[in-house]
Amino acid sequence: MKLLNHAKAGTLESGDVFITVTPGEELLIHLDSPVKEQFGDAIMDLVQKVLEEQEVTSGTIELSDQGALDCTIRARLITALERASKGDVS
Amino acid sequence: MKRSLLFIPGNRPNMIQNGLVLPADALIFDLEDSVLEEEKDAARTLVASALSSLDFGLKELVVRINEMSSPHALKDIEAVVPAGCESILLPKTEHSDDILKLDGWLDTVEQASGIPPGSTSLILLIETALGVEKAFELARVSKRVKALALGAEDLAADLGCERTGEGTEILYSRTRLVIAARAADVEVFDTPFTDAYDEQGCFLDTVFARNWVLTASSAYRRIIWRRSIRLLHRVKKRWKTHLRCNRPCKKPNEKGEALWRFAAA
Repeated sequence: MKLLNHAKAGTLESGDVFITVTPGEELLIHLDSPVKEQFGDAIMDLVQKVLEEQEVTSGTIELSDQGALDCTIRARLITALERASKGDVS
Repeated sequence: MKRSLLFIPGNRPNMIQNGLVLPADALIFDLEDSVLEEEKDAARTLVASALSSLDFGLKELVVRINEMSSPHALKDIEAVVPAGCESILLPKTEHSDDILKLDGWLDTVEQASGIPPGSTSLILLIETALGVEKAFELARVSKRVKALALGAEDLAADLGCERTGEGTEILYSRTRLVIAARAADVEVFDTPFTDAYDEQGCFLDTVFARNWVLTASSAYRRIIWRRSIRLLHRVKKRWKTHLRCNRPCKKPNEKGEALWRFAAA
């Protein structure tokens, strides 16, 4: 999957995660989370796994986590990546 | 047998999490009215992800897809059925052709996903005058149809009448659906009571429907909002005793099954 445009998905509501995706030459992941100390590594592993599944090898991924479950992080990341790959500017 | 079907907006992760613990008998993940047009893709992906990874226990998992005339309906099916959706709630059902088309889509998706053919059920949401008139015919289009459900808010809009707390404007439709469902041998679910903060109104409306409208059905089931679950179950518990005392079983060999149905309902 090739990222063509900046895109976002999710919200800043409790239990959700707000994700922005920006095309770029290298892969950069930024995580902001109130539970980063406890679950930061697990969240980063999940993000890496989804990126591999979606065959995304470059771009900037920024996550503002509000205590989201794994299934929510996965869903929001997939949505953001798909929007970016379709060229939707949002 | 379901007493309560809880609506959950499909793009709200915190409400989906609530579905794990709230004591409803079934969960309806909504991809239609509660989701903005520009968020349809996000809601679809979120619901599919939740269905495939969270354990909702014994709750039946239902998804209200978008209208068949929309560009989202097929994508909804392709996402949620492989993820574990057990029943599809079809909005604004009016035409047999829509049910047949959906039936075909489900056949294809079930086959591609290794799901037993025919295992995904349909609940037809009747919320237009035409739908009410054709309810019996619609219920018999496909073997997948297991229930009719009334959507009174959109029905009132279609009829051009005011939706009142007393609900007299939907009395005919409520009764008509019970007869149609009974004749077609499918279940019937009552309309949601949409004012989530009017517990007294919800209680009175539920008792009214239970006593005067839906007594033709073997058990009373209702689509609800979060605050109404325990209230609805309380009404059901009282009625369970009433049924056991007053409703004779037609055939002796049905006695065991009938008592079980009331107890579980």
